Amino acid sequence: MQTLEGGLNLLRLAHLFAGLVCLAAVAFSQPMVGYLSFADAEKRLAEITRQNSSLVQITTIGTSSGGRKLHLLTLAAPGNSKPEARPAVFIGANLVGFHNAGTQAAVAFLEKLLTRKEEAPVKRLLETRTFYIAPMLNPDAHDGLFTAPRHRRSLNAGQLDRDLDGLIAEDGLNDLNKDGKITMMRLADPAGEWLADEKDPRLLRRADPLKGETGKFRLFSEGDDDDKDGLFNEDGPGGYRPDLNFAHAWNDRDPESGPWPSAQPEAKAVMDFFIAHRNVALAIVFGPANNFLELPRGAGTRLADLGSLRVQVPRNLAQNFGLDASKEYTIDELYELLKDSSMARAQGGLTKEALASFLGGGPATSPDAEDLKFYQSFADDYKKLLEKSGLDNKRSAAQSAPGGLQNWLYYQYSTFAVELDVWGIPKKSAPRPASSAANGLTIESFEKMSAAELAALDDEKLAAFLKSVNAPPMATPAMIKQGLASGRMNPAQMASMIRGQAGPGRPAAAAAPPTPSSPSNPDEDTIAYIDAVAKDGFTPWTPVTLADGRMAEVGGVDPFLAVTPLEADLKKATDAHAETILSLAGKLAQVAIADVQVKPLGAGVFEIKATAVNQGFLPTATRLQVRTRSYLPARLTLSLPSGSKLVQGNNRVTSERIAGSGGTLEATWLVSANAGDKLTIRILTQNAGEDRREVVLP
Amino acid sequence: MSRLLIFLLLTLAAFSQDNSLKPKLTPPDPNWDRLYPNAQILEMMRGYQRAYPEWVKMESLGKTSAGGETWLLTITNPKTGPADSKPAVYIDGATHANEIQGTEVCMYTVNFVLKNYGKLPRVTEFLDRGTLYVIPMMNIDSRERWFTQPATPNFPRTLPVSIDDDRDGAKDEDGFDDLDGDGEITMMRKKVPLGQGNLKLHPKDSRLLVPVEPNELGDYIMLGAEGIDNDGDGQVNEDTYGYIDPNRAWGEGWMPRYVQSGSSEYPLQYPEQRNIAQWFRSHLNVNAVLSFHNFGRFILRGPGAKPQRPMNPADLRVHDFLGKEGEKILPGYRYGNSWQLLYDSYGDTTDHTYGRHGAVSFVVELNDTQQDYDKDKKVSPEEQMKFNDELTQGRMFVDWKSFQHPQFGNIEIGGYKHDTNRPPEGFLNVEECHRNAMFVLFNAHQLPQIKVQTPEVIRLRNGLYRIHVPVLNERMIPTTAAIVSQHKLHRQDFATITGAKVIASGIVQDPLLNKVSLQQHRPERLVVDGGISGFDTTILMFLVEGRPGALTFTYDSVKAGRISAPVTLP
Repeated sequence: MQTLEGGLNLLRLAHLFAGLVCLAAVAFSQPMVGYLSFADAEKRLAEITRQNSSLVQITTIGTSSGGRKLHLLTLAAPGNSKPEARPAVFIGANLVGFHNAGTQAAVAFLEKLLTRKEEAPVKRLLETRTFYIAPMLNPDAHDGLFTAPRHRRSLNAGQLDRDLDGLIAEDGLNDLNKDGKITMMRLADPAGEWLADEKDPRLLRRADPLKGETGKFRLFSEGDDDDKDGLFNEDGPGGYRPDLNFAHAWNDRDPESGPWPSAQPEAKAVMDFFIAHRNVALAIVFGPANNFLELPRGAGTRLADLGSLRVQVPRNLAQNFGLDASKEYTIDELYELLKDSSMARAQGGLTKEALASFLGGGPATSPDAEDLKFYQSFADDYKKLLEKSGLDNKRSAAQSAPGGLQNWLYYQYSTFAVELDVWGIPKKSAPRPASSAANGLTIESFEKMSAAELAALDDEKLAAFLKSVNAPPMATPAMIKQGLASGRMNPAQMASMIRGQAGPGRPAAAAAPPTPSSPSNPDEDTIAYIDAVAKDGFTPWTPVTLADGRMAEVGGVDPFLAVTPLEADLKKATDAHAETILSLAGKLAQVAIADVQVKPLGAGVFEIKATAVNQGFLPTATRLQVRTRSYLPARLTLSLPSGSKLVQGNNRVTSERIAGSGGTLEATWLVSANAGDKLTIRILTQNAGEDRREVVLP
Repeated sequence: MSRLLIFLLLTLAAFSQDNSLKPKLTPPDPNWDRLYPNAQILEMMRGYQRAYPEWVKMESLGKTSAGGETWLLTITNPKTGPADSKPAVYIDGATHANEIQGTEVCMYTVNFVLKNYGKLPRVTEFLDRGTLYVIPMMNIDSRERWFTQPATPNFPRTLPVSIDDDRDGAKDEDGFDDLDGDGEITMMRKKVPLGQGNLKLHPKDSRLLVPVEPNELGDYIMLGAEGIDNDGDGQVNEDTYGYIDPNRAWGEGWMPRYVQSGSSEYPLQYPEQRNIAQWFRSHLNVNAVLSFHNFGRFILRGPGAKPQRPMNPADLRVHDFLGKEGEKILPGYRYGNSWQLLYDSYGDTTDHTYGRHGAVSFVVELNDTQQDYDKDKKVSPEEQMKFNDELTQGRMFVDWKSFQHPQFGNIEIGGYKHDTNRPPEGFLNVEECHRNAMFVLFNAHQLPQIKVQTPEVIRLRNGLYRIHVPVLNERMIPTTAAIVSQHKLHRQDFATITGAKVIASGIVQDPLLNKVSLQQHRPERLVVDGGISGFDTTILMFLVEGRPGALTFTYDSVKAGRISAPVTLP
């Protein structure tokens, strides 16, 4: 049996030829129209760089497992500071391999920036910001859309024995019906759990044994049991998934996630780039999740807010501070007990973050509530823009993958990081229920919220929601928030309580969780989209004969239907995302020296008061960064000429995070110096720029 | 004694003499009562390689962070098969550069096996059927610095990578300073006006300070290790050389720096560990890992941190057996996991080599403070000083001398030298090296050893046979650890029969009641899920179609090697 990698060149040629002939009938069999293969994208980037050599530099940040280059473009116009010292926006795409729409969006942004480079706001951005753009981060998998058969590919080049049988790539996918793409395969089997749906014979639904139904089919991805071990497609060609090879919430039981985080060259190259470029203040990751349509809910096993983390206090510390070493305290409780202690004074103040770190509080696993407010604010703008662009903003969207780049960037590298999927199958255009006071909050969305998100909800909205689901009277907003803060309950547990105890009149349907759409079981949105737009996005079930003589049927949704918009939508979506990035780039933190006051106190002593301000909209760091301390703090410093000296204190005052929209950092120094001495005051940050001012003593 | 017995003994003696290794050149003959700087260790490694060129391979696994190399010795009997095809023990030393004598324990083991092959049956058996891999100096650059630049018992410890510890924008700008120029970083203390200190002089020994009682006034303070405020930021020694802890940098259970101090930006970021982790990927024949640290006398297993998943019970049983036997070989050592005996340690060696490679793994913490005269299980400052005075004639301690400090004014500098307390004094190191080498060899002895027992062949009818092949593992370490299938680390063991058509195969659950768990597909390649446990037999069943004659049974294991045996169809 031929494997996917093992030349289907003839088929591919035939397919391309057919494509040329049938161009007029634009339908989903040709979604690659307008999409860049890896080689085409390389050419395009080289051309753009050549034509804009004063603005664009192209470099390689690494090499894929299969030896292909990981290209990175740096865009910055000449300005007051060097590109590597400016606040930067990173745009990276298609680490997952099959998200070619992301590559398109990254390239479209690049082109938009260049065509509009003379417009004043864009010109200003190019002079004060740096843009790092890496449009193809998984080159080995990038061309799954273009190969015949077309199939979603995420694996880099390499070898992995997934089924531990000592053989490599012995049972991959096969295009059994020779339609040039990998869809699904159903096998008649009395032990199967699937039934053909009476309402739409294209669809399958799970048999319900409680209604006396018996399943008729088993469902697989399309392909034969090439190695005759009884399993279909369990060990195909390819290595690992670079998109799951990052260190936050990495899955140590999934061999495709790599033997350890950073083992895959693509993931390592990306992390090394970020570590060497601490000026990145915002990272846009184009991938299969959308953090604006669905705010990030967290990743990792230990879901608790910082304050409600439970820790034990080591015996010696407990003795010194009159605590009970056998008891578990929350960080909030300990903070209250210790914030005025001698230890806190010795440390120059105590923070909950420092306590958690010191007492083995473990990693953060949900977004900080303060950070979420910024995500929410950007998400509101984003949704408005989508609507204006004629794109659906109410569709469902996936969460960023545990072990993925977005999660690493937020939880460990500690920058604002947003994953965006560019496009998704729109919601079926059914009339939507008018928004109530609960403002769209349902028991399902409640259940999925993180504790931090819930805590950030206002009481009125929460009360309206509780009323709308007919919650028992004791479930008040205050009770909900108290339960969360104590760490005793999480939103999912609360949702199940509300469901279980809801009073009379509660609609039963609300209790059933929605079934997510998948290629094997497309939801009504997908079917509506196929019927209305992507006419041949569904391959009708057709019989095939397997190698062992059994009959099966192949059919189902095109593997790229849900992630690959057709040309018109692609243009709209990439335009909207370019606009979004331009708008976000204007909101980065930017520090400046706002004021310096010099007051002679007599006897050659001067009081110097300096104020630095954050002129940008975003704070200089995420709130989580205050805990992770991944960046250097903002530093307000004083340099003195020789012969003068500080009477008191440190020549450096720091802040982990200067708030946005005019937040300040102030310092007061007493200096023994001479009139006419020149002092230099600097504000230094890694990702919000720098500024300096010189003052001459009167 | 009968003549026959004497004759037998003489023959045996002659036999073993014949088998001992004949070095091509005189091998190194180190004294184990001292610590060797890197150049001498490297010369020693080359010396063994030159003396036994076919038995000892020396190679570099790659460059390290500061330009050194990760040197590996591979030792096995070349006539009994290539090194990588045999079950193996891996040992290393000086992961923490200041935990210096792990290197000597490694080299002692190398010396012992090479010089006792052919003389001592267990050593002979090991090098015939197994392989010893040794990385004596993992953190080689910082270990060199410990010898050549002013150091303390705790410093330098970490990778030779600059980190901005105080987050001021400069790296390693305020480290320790050898203020009195004696080649040692010792301590600083200061006499202050009565009532301003928290310590006072020891009433019997002015070299020692003691804490004041609640109703006393103090007149001394301690000011930390020798150093000044090099960068003028009002702090002393706050940003020293280092600090990426090489034992918090591995790939399993890793946590970022705000959870685990000393952590890197991502697991295996630096070549010291990455070189070795990559090497392990192609050396799955390693069954046992021992990484030598100091101190406190512990035999530590994973998991390193409390929040991690507990070890699989089947694998725990193996660790428990080896660890508890280790307590007997190493009196005073305690066996257990890191977080219970010491502290949470995320991303450490044992978690990686067990969790990512399926090897039984221990960190051995060598040595303990000398000397507990009153047996109260604590070594007081007085006891430590008594040991210094009487057993080293004062070698360990540098007496206090006054010094004019730029920030602290008139102070005193003095204290224990860098090569004291953590490494044992020379005369104690010999026993420490020997006992730990014997623990390595105990692990080596327990490497999986598979034997095919007599097959039972039953002719069911003409040309159709049922074969039961008992496969025995006669040592403690299983042919495949349970973690291997749990984490999908490498292929399972499998068994084949060639020479006849295999109709069906399976694993016999109960030979007396003939209960067999059949493999549904590909019977000619029987997957032995979970391998064969220690001191246990698994019976494999094959239903074959064939003619009377000889067949070949093969058991093939990543970790236990490959073994074939004839099976005869009557």
